[in-house]
Amino acid sequence: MFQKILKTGGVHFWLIAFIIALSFPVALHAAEIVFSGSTEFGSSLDTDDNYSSENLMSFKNRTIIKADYKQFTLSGISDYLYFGAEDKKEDYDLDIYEMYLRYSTPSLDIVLGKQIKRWGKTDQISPVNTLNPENNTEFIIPSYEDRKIPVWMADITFRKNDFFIEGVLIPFFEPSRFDYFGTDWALFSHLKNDFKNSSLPSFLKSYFDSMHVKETEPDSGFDSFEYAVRIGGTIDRLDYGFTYHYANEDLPNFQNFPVKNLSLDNFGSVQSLVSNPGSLILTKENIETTYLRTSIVGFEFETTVSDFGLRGEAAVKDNESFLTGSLTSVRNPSLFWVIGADYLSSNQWYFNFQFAHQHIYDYDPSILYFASNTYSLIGEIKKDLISDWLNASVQFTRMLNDNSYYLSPRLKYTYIKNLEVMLGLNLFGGDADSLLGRYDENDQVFIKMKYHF
Amino acid sequence: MNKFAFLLLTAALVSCLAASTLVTASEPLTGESIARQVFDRDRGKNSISSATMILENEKGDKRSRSFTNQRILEGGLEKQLIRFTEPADINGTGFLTIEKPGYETEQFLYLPALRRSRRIVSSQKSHQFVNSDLTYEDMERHPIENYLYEIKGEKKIDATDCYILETKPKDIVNSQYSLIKAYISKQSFVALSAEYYDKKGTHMKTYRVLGLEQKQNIWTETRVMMEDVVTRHKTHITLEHIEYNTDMTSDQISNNALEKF
Repeated sequence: MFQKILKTGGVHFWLIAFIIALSFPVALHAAEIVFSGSTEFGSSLDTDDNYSSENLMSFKNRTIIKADYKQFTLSGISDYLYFGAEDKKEDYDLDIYEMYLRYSTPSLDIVLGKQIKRWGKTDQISPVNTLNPENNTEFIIPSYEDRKIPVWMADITFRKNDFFIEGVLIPFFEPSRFDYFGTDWALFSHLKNDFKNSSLPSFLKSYFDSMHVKETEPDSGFDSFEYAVRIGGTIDRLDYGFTYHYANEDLPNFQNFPVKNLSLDNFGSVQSLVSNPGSLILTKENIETTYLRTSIVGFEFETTVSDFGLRGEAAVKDNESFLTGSLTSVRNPSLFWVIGADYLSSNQWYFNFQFAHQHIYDYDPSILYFASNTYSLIGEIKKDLISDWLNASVQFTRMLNDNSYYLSPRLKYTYIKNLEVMLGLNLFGGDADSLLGRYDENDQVFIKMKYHF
Repeated sequence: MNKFAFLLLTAALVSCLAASTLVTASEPLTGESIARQVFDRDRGKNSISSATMILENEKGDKRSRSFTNQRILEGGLEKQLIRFTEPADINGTGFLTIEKPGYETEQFLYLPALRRSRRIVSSQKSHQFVNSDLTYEDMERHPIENYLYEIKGEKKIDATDCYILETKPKDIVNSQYSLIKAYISKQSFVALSAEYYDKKGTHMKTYRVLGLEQKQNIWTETRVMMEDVVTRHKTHITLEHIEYNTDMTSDQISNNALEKF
């Protein structure tokens, strides 16, 4: 473990700094370059040892170093993630994080390069914030903002008084990241390892172990470009925006699964896949996925009423891919809207509640985890315990259809300059066929330390 | 320290009037006329400044924050953009205040981690600003007609002759204070000291100007301190640099500017 910490926190940290220094064409003007960044160490331990393949612990280090020179920004990221147990998994990424050039006048803003662009007003979940894909390798454990992945884009905004119009062009496709196999958060969890450890015939073990995912990404070229426009402004105390995004879906559409005749209500376990072995047809095909086009029309608003902040969003997709019990996808139009309010009491209690509703048009009952109408409640309650350097909070998501939940109580300590220390729990509950309940065995205690410089 | 006009001046200041009529020598001296002098004194059409805020608890432990402030006055209404620069964990955090007619304010907060600004409730005026001893009410200007003023005598503060001016909010005003007792310099019409009393009449906080200089011929508070007399917690603000009457435009203090970090 110490070797891993040294490797990720030490060598790679300085390697990133070195790369940035080398790649910066204006290094001669070093005095005008402003460096900043953060390094974060996090570790989690499962609260229960539920089954042999389970990841009982994880460790991560994420270091971002940013250099600003006038209107040019360049940052590099060193991102290491390790899941430990019998089914170990290790992932490391060293990359340019953001790199963009900005040109600004009072009425015009042009930002060209790799960047994260935030649309929308709601917290933790944002239906109109569709420009950047997400890193879901730890599901929803990292914060919503930390999950976003920078992409190359051209962003042009024109402003006049309280009105603005913004156009975005995304030339290169970048999918959301997640694991298919081998972690507690992977789409098919530890399925391969579970088969290995099962008492099933060896040909079945071998069959599932050799299962392969063949991903087909959109071709490069004009036909695959994404375009988006946002028009908005302020009327009195109401901030509003209308959005349109001609996108490639960030999550894959499953076009083929090698095991035929499946009719599952969840797919996280050996038992679920072989519950009716007699009817299964095993082919030599691959799992085949692709990323399809969709159009997203959205609306967002934010205002304050009395002592409350109010915000909301709605997005309609002309087609969205949903996984079904046959482990292939269907496409349906969908509507997703969120409305929420936050309030800060005079004694520093902070409440933030959001209600979300997703409606799937032309609903197919074989769709997994989502009903025709899926309702959820998302929120945060926070209280400063000592000044502003020790606070307690609870973040939660509750699916109202099936009562599955995610609950995360936390303590955050920030007394030491530039250092954040967070200690908390990530708790999941619900039935195995529910969106959050499928992670019921992943309850964990975690510690996270983030140093800013 | 026009920048802190928003911070303190307005607080102590006791006055903040909507009208900007100067008092002439022939007019009788009243509490309201002194308040108007405070309000109307020259603070430049705009200013850009940088400062350090030190929070000190009763044990003497200190935490420091640095920030820049841009302020502009247009049509009698102010806009201010505060941007924290130190320590690194709050670097880039921005706070935008836009006055509307009637001196109601719109407030926006920018947190770099969120990558967007949030419109925040401005009606909770008694909340502390970034855990200092200043509240949002202290940072706002208020219509003069909403307050009652009374001269309660004269006193020397650090060898400077001052008027003692008491300000009480009228019943229509939603204020955390029942009384502000301020000491106004006869020379500069700067509030050199002020005592704040809560609704029960208990002395809550004391404000002091510890440094006052003329910058570009404008009286400027260069060091100020607000102390919570109950908890003994103190907020020190030291002005590092200020430039008045720059070529700043209104666009530089906007929601768009707030999100440019």
